[in-house]
Amino acid sequence: MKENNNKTHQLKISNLSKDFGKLQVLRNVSFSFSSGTSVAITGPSGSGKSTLLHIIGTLEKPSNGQVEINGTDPFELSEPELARYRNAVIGFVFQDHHLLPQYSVLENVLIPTLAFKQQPDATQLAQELLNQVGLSDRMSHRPAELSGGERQRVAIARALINKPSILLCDEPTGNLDATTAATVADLLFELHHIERNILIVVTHNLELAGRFENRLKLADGVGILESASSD
Amino acid sequence: MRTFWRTAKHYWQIHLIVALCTAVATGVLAGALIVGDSMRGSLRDITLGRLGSIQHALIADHFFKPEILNRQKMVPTILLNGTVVAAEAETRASKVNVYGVDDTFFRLWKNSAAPNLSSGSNKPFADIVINETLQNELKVQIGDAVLVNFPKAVEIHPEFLLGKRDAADVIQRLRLVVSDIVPTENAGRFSLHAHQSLPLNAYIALPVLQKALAQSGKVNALFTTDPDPILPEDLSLSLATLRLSITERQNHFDLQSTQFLIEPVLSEAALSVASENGIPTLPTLTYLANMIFTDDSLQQGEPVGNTEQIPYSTILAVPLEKGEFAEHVRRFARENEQGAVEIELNTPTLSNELSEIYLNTWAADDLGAKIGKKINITYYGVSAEEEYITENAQFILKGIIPIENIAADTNLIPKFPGIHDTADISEWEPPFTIDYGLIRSKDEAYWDEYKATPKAFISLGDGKRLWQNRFGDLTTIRMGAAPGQDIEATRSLFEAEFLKKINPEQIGFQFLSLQEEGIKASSGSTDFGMLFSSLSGFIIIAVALLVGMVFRIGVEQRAREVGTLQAVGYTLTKIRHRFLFEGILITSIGSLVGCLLAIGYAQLMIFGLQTWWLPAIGTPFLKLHINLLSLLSGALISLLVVIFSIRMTVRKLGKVSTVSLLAGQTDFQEINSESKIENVTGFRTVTIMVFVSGVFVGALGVGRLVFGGWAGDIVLLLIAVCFGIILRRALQRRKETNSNLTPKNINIVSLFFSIGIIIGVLLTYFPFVRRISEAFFALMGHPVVQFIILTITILSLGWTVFSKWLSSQKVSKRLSRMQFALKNAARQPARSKTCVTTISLACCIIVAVGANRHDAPPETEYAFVAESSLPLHHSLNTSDGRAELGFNEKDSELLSASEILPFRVLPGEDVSCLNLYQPQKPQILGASDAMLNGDPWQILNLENDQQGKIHAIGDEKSLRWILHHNPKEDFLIQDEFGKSLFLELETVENSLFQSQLIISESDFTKYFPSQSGAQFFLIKTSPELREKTLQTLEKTLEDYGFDVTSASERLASFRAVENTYISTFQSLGGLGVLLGTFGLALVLFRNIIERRGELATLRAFGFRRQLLSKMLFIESCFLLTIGMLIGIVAGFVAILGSQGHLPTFPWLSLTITLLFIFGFGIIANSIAVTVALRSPLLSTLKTE
Repeated sequence: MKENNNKTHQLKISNLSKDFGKLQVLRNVSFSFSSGTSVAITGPSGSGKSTLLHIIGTLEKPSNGQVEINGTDPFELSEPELARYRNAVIGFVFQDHHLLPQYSVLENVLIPTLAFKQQPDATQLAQELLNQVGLSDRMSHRPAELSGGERQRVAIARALINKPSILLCDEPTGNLDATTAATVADLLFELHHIERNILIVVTHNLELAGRFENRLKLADGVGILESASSD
Repeated sequence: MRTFWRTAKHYWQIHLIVALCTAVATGVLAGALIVGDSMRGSLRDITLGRLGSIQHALIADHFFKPEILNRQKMVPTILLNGTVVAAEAETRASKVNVYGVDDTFFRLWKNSAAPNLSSGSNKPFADIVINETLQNELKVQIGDAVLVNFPKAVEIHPEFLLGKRDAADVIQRLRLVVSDIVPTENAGRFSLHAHQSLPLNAYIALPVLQKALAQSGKVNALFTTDPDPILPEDLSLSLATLRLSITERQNHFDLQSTQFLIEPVLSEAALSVASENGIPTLPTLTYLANMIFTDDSLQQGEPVGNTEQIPYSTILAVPLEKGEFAEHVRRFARENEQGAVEIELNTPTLSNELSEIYLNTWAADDLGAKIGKKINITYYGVSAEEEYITENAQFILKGIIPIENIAADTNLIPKFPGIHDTADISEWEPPFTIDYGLIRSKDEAYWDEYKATPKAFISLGDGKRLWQNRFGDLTTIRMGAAPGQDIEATRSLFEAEFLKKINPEQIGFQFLSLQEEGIKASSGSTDFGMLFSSLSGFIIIAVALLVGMVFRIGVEQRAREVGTLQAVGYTLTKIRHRFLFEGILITSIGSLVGCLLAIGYAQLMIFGLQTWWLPAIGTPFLKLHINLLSLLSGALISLLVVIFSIRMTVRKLGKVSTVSLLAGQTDFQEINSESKIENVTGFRTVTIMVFVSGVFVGALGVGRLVFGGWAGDIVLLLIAVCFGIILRRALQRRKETNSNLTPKNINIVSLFFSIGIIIGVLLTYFPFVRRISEAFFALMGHPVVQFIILTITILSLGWTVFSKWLSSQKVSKRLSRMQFALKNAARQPARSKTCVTTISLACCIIVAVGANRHDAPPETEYAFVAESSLPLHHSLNTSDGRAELGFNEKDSELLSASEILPFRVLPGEDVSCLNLYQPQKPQILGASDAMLNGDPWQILNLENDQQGKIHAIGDEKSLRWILHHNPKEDFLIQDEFGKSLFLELETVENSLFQSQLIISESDFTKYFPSQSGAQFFLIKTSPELREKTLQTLEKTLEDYGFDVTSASERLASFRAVENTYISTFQSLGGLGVLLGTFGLALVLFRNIIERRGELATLRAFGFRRQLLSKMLFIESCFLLTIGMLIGIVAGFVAILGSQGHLPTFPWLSLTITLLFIFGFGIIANSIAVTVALRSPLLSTLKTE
């Protein structure tokens, strides 16, 4: 697999707030990450972890504050432009893998390439990714025929197919047993090193969070950033 | 119950759809049954309206005194068929029911006021009352004069030699003034025939009509309101009623008929009574010879000169060997023993070929004939075309007798109309042509002295051979005194016994229970309830599928609830009952709503039948009749269908594990596969089934039928072996999934199949099994069966391929957006299959039904079909005939370019689809010889070996669908004498004869001798002469009520009914498709809701909402297209396979229908996609 290009990616969050009516979920959260950074977002349930992840992933708009990815505020883009932007820049891995049951493993990985004009080498890239996540022999299988860990590995491959600048993972090991979770986490880090993207993972798993170089602890809507070096 | 209401409230959308679907099913089914009730009810209303309080009727083909029926409250009436012409308006109406009525007639209808109808003795013209329908036809008002033509009452049949058949002799014309116009209801709609169309009725005062017909005090119909039927024994018959007379002489009495010939049934009865009572009889037959001449006066076979020829002489056919004539001959021979040579009593027959003739002395002298000489006579006969034809016969002169005793007895000669009462021969007015130039002075002298005294005598056998016809073979039956009785006592005895012997039905009386028969006929030829139920059947199926699918969605939605209930200890049966109970309650509510819908649906169908589909019923007469039983039946049946569908869904619940249910999974597709495998494990059942299949295949003897004998058996065994191998291989492939499929078991199954085949083959040696086998193959050869089999095969093939595709595991090398969208259809295979099944079934039906639609104008070799109200007694194909009918030379020449095929008509009911009543007595046509060429018409010329059975032709559809008769079975009618007559049927299809049954003219005249002339015609003429021919015929034959219609229009009117049924079916089929597409939209909507997580993921990966909509839309359109394609292909292939060719398709209407369905599907799907994607998707991705 080709390594990610050397272009530096930058994610900058400034004074980000998010309200749901009277409920303020995020308050003045600010941080900035560049390529090769990995961040774990932790916090109790309802602390706004997923909301923050969705705002970074441009799935939700912030109430206040600014998100800048590679110098661009995605929320200023039009709907089609935003979709294209998300497709190219952001990769998602969800707790519930959200694989499409009617498609094979390979087809699931290829799905993000269909949103816009497909690259000619998409299938080859997907096969390489699957090879990399250790599923080269399960390409033609359906998600129902895979174990939980395997499904999540497919989801990771799918998230990386468009070589995103930012890989967002929402509890990627939440539904997995400890051993499988560790394997999936290993894979995430391995690919992160290869791709040199910004890896942001929401997790309750403190052990997993401990493996990240940066940790953003959310409590009462306020984020406290800790880095591994400061530990 | 409280739980139910809470659940119902929570899942209200699903429950609402289930209830609505049930309501639709109930509405459609019960509504269809109500349409049937309304049809029957409306027909019954018409019947009760047209008959009023008339219960029974006595109808005759001749006039009689009403007093012959000893019953109170009889309503005397004259019933005639005629034409009415309004001279001023220049309008004409044919097929008019002309009724001669008195005041009592209108009192038969309680709600009808008697119209203004007087006998008009003080007016220049009598009154006529007409109904509104006739008024609309004639465009006349009260006070306008009209001319009414109707058949004259004639004693002698027009087709007999002495019968008159010119228009002036057979048509009575009466000028009348319209005095009142009655609505076409109650008495104004009176008709003997059950038909929903409005009759053209005219009412004339009875005395006026009786006077015009010269039938004073006589009628031809009596009606009674008495509920007791009129029976034959209620009639007091007299000789006058039978049109007979007895003339008593000194020592004998003569029985003669006013019709000249004594009807065969009467002469047979008379001779039988005489024989039974020892009364001596002398039956005789009198005929008129045109010429008597000897061989000497022949030159080249033709008589020449007039010196040795006697013109226009009476010939008496009489028993020569015994009786009065023989005695006279013997007496005369004895008196002339001394050298007389006029008689040779004991000489053997002089010629083996020629019959004997006696001449009286006057004739013998005139001809100079000697005993042993050949005597020729020429006489008129009447051809089948009712033309006079000259025939001749040759005799050997056996004796010459004096004009004495029987030879001078003119009492034996019935009165010749227009002849017997004239002073001179030159004053004769016979109906046939007389060459007065041939009459000599000595002929006049003979007439002066001897009148109609016969000049020649032949044997009765010869007379019958030459002159007997359908009207009789005797003119006089002379009877002497019975032993021990004087002539007066004998006469009384004879008369009493004779009248007892006569069955009134044999002499043209009919005893009709009009009310009972009318109500029976109201059941209708077509059960519209069943028709609409069948036509709506598809909607019911579509609804059942839809309910099953919706309910399944509901169950899937509640999978966790089921899992939880199971987890807390509910038994599966209890849970199933809970769901079923819910289903029953919901559908019951839906069914109740459906009852209201049913009334609306029935109203809509009735509105449709009165407007869009009017050709199906002809006249807008339908009124809504709601029958509670139909309503309940419809509700119950649809309820059962829907509950069955729910039951099938609920049953599958048990196959899903509690864990899966708790996880919200109810993968029915998986369950289906499992249950199939489970079925295979019933090894014993499989073995038995395979064995039975083997016996079945063997018993059918496929190979035996194809190859015959042992070769066929070998082929069958080979088939068995091949099947065994294939079975083994197939089962081995499934071995991995089923532990029962061991090689040993597979071998056992194969062995059982082979044994089954052998037993089956052996069974075919028993004739019974062979007959079943042959019947099976005959059935398989039927186009409809072939069509059904082909349809099912192609549809199944299509569904299987689609199923296979759905479960396909193939991974495409390159995933395109299109492939991505299409593969989504496989996400819920069961739902996709249900949609495709429903849509394909509907499209197949629409195509197949549409193929039977004939929009193109039908082609026929005939230009016109014509019918006349009054019979034509002259041929339209000969110049003489045309001249007699009143055509001038120019018109006659025009008609000579046409070929006109005449048919005799026995009045009866229309048996075509144009008549909604159930016909009891079909109209019968007698086809002339010109028609009887080629298949199948020549069959009518064949003699039938069995007594009382003749060949007949009927239209396949009329027989099957209107008369509800299997064409392979004989059809029973009654001949004119009340005897059973079986018609051995051949069928024609899509013919012009959908309203009648056809027999040959010879059979017609034999079994219905009193019917005269032709009233139905097929006309062939070139296109450029058509318009002129039509005008000429209708104008010249106006008095006969001659109506000409285009043959293709006639065919089109039949087809219109068929096309209307097809349109109805297509419309209802279309409604079914709409339900199918609604189901498709529902599936799509549900799929989107279920897949919100997936869709949100796609959105997260950059799929725009528009792109998602597009892909979902492609997915649903794909299902719609596949469903339609499978259906269309199946429909076309099935038609092609069963008919051998593609019929003339109504491409335009079919394409429009299919496009409409496609368009509706697309719109429904677009709405489903838009609505489903409107809710926010991305929130589903959040874990917290």
